Amino acid sequence: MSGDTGGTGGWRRRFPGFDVLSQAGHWDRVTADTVIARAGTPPAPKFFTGPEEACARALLNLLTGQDEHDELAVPVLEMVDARLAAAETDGWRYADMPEDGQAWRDTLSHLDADAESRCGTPFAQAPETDQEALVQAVQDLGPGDWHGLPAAHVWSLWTRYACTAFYAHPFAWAEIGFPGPAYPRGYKNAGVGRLEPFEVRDAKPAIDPVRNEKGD
Amino acid sequence: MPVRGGVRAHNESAWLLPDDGSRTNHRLRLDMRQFADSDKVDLVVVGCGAGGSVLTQRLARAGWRVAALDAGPFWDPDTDWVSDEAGSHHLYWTDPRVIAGSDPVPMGSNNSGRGVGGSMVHYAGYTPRFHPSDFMTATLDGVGADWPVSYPELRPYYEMIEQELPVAGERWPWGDPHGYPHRPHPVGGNGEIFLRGAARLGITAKVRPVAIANGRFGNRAHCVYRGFCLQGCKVNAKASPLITHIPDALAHGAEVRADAMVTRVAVDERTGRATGVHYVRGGRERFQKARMVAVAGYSIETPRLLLNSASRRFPDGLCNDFDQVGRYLMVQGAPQTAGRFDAEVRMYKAPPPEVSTEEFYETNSAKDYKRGFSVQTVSPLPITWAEHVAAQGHWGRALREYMSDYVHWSCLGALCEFLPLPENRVTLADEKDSCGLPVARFSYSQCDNDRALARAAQSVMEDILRAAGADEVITIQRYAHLVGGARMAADERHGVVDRRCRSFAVPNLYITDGSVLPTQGSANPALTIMAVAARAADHLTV
Repeated sequence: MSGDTGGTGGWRRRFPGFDVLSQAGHWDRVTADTVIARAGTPPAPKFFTGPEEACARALLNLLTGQDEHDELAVPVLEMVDARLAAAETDGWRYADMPEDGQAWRDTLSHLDADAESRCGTPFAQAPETDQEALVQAVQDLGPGDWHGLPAAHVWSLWTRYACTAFYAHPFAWAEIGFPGPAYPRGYKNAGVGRLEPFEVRDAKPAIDPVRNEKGD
Repeated sequence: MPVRGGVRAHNESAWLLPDDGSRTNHRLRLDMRQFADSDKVDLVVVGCGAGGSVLTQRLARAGWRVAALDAGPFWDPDTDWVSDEAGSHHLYWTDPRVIAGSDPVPMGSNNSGRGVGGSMVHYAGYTPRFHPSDFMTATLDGVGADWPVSYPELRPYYEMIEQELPVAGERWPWGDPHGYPHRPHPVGGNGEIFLRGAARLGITAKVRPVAIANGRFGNRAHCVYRGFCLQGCKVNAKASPLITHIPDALAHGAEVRADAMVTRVAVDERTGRATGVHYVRGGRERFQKARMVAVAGYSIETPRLLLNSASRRFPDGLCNDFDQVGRYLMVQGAPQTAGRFDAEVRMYKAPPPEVSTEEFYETNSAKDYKRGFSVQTVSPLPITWAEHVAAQGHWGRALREYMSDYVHWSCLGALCEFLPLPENRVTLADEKDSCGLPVARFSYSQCDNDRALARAAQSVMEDILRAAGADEVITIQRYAHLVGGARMAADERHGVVDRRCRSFAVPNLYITDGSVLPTQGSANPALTIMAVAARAADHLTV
């Protein structure tokens, strides 16, 4: 598997006109405050040091496929930084990994070291194709060793934090057709093929990533 | 079966909630009785989840002076909970824990609750009973363990708790066949797919028992089918002890002391009896005196508390004379298989628990494994769905493309009866928590039977989804639930508590939570934990 498929990005804008935040008036106040704050300007990073921040930003944008084609950027770096600054972990760590904050610092430093030996630059300044290759190399190690850590557990750490941040954001929900908060309104039209008035049908149902992958 | 008025006569919780659209009876909490640390209460309960809350309510009703301590907050669904995945992080127990073994089990959102109501605050709401065979797997199948309690002994408590939650579902043909007090809920896209696929294969599937009232129950509102059951029910439609047992307990003079982390159970060296619990509240170390102690911190924190309560008499941990504490901790193998449909399924538009089958629950002599599995709908929201997709190896733009397809996927989950093994256990790590106490280290490894079950369950789910019309299926290996770790047994060499949940080592120390279960079946454990606690309470009050 790899991160560089997805072709031309034809899968973007499958739900034309679907704007999750436009429905905020139908949400309970506590939820609305939470989600609207998340969609606003994020606070400046305070966990990562300068070099760590540059490396983490490049890594997280790569893992979440964010690039110049995105109309709206999700501040994944800032969201992950805020979690780490608050020590808001998932409530566990692997016995063969340091605690999450230290694990982030260590793995970013290892990634920079890999970039230095491959391209002679820190990870953040490496060409995107090299960045992709470096990240892919970690995934490909699977249970193998990467700088003294099990690569699979490093991969788990990176992707968990990245996905949790990215798919918490209303911009990401709009991209996948998910309307977000549903209280107190709830749903009245559940069932295959049925929509609520505020949902938008997939305009590109033929974009089936499974078939695309097989080359159908 | 008792009629609905009968429920109110022995548990008035649903009628003690407000009927004005708000979800918390603040008056009841303000007027709550408060014991002093020096008051020797009849019972101090550690943990207000499924087991601790039922015990508290029952004994308060019987006139006992009960203080129930919980490490987390006393939730108000209106102000503390949101209809949002990431914003629900505070519902999970996220103090540090270390996971190890050849198949380590992630904790937190997957299986660990925090605050009054415990993990039932964020469970899906599935409330099946165990099968009669679950109580004697050693005798029937030569694996697992026999309980010192039989199914018929637990049945009246199942029936009572089903009325109190209450449970809605179709008549259940598996195990000990039975009906439910409320009619089944309508199903959404995901349930429709499951029913269609199962019907085409000739597999019986039913609209599932869920602890979500179908219709008004007391002052609890009707479900709005918003799909955020795992984020805490803001509607008060889905049952958790916060609304099903705690209100009645308060009305009968119990105290719920939230934000109180119990650090140690104290035992008098001379008498050998428990004298109370040390706890930390507001940064201050305190001690609550009690005539009796019941620990109900669930399968990780209960063993951890016992191990952290070591003393001269119990050098290896309280109740650990025979090295049983923390052992036989079980998780269900929970492979999750999704299928892709051209039509839009939009599985988020209903409570995740919709449809299930227990056709594969029992040992089948034609198979090369013992025991079995159940299959249920699960309907992951975007963050959890991203975990499923990322587990296929996708990242970056490929991940985004897959995720953009979310509305086309249907998702099923299995619960496989992984076996209780002595080496799957909680011990203490070197690392300390914010109270300075060693955190739990949970080591878990599967056996061959476990792996065979997970493979079989995955293949059944793939068949069901393909029969329903899926053109592709993808699976992620997961775990669900926790039970065991301080199991019930016939004697002290095989477990920590007796058939009435009383510890073998300390006569006035009880354990009334999921950690006492000797086996787990392929059923979600909440109902059984409550029934076991209700039974223990009955024996204390006769």
